[in-house]
Amino acid sequence: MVNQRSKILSIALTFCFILVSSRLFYWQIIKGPELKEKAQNQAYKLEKIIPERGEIYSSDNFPLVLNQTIYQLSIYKPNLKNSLDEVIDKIDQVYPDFKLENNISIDKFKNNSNQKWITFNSYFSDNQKKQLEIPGLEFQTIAKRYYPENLMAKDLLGIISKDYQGSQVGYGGLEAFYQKQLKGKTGFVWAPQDATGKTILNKKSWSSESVNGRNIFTSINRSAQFYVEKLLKEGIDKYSADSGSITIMEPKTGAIIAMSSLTSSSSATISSIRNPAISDLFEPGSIFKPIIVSMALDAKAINTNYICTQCNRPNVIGKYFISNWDNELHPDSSLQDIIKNSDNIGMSHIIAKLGTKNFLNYYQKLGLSQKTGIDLQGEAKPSLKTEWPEIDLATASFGQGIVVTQINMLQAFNTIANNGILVKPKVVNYFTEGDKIIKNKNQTETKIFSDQTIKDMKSILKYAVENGVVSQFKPKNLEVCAKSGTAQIAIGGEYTDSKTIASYIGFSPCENPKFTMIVTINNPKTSPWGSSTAAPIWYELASKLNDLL
Amino acid sequence: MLNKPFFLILFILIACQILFSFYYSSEIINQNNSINKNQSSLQSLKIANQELKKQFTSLTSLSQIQTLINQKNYINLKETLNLQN
Repeated sequence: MVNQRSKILSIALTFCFILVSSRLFYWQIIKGPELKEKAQNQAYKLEKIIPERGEIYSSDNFPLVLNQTIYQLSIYKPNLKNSLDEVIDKIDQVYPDFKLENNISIDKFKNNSNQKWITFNSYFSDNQKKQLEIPGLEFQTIAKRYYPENLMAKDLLGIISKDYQGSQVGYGGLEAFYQKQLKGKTGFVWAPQDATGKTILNKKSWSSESVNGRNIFTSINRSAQFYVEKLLKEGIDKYSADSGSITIMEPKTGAIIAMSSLTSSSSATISSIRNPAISDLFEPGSIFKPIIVSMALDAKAINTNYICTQCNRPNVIGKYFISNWDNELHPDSSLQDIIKNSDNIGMSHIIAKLGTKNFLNYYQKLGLSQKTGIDLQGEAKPSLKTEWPEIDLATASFGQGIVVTQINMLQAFNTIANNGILVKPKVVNYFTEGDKIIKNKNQTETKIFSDQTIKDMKSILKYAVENGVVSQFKPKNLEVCAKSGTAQIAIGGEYTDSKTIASYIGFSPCENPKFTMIVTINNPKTSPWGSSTAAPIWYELASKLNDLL
Repeated sequence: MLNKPFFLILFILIACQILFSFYYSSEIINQNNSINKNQSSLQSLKIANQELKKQFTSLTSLSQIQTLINQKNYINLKETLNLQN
């Protein structure tokens, strides 16, 4: 009987053992890989390591853009250990004006018992966050940009915002142009996590290092930029203009020393994305005349002894009359006087001698029909007509009927300052990645005008400055080669005298210049002329730059 | 007779295995704790560095200096930078 029972027991045990073993075999061997994968997916997670975005510095290594970690506060009612009023009072002690800033949302949150969670639009520093380690308060980390010089060079720097995936992306200026260099390389960690969500590194973990974005070191001279913005703002207010732009370039390298565009305080909306100095097309007007004379001298269409024998009457082309801006006539003008008097009639005869083919050839070589390639996002491409009737060629001689950006005009004029060599404008000198210094790509230089042409042109410009109406603004210690311009604005296909673009462009000193600068004032109402609005600003800045550079 | 040393060795091996796994897992936990601690102190240092940079640059920026000039008052800047003169 006992034997019988022990037999049954051993059979039952053996059966159970086989049952358990077969079940184990099923889960561990047959289903094993699948379960292992599921377990790994539950325990392991792929974590992104967000790199730090690169910072942007001025030429004196002062940061124009820094990174800043700030915190956004949320309150979760069920986790509060003290009353909501006490917690809000505590927050207000740490963050002054918190209640004032958020009074509406605080009241709603207090009175609505169904609302458990609230996020405030107030941002806290790390120090403030540390003082608010209270149950029920949650802080979300937010990476932001900090601008030590406030709005300085804002349209040149650009801004950052988030794209549809929530990643930081630059818009406008340097932030967008150098997005790839600034953003760095995202790192990844594939590792299990514990119950609190913390990553546990083990032998099976896998990771790739993140690489922080490169820091950008620009050629922007902080002091020059400061004065440019100050004097431009004062100028726009003084001349009751709509807006204005100033760009300063280093003649030999094309490095941008300062660049700013401002609108009048009455319509003061400073866009951080659009930079009018590179994105707005305008008719340059008389500041284009020295370029035409350089072309004509270089092509040997005229020489320095040129006398305008037909300057005693308006130039008649078909049904059109070319006359001077002041309706005066300057018979038998020399080349120097044509520039000094800004003589449209004389210029129309010079361009006729140059011819359309030569004009277009130089125009393209000077990069006036294309983008300069400056390292800023948002540069506009100027358009160039395909048909050139005689009247269009004549008006082009005094900068009407052609459109360029301010940076195009500065690049072309800088060729005279830089001994006939065209250089590409650039803002960034070099990058740093850790301890490594990476130089910005060297640019190609193209010789456009001969040395003799430049020598003659500098002498003409110097004469025009010293004997023209602008000489009253010129400080005695400053040697300047420059030209003023006033372009009428075409409204509805017709030019109007009521709206003008007043400009002044030039470099100083004439030999081995330290800078080339252009000042453009849009629609000045106190006086329409470049010589009485843009020129005074130019000379005041030139005087400052003479000390700074 | 043979069973006794066999079970003894088996018991020692199992005990060693248990001890090793305890040691190994505690080592992993310690290392991970240390990584987490270092990571958070690195993060704190980075943020502290950011704050210092921010404070220094906001005090020495041209816009701040211009404000002080307008106020005809350099005292704040001198005190913060601990200048002698």
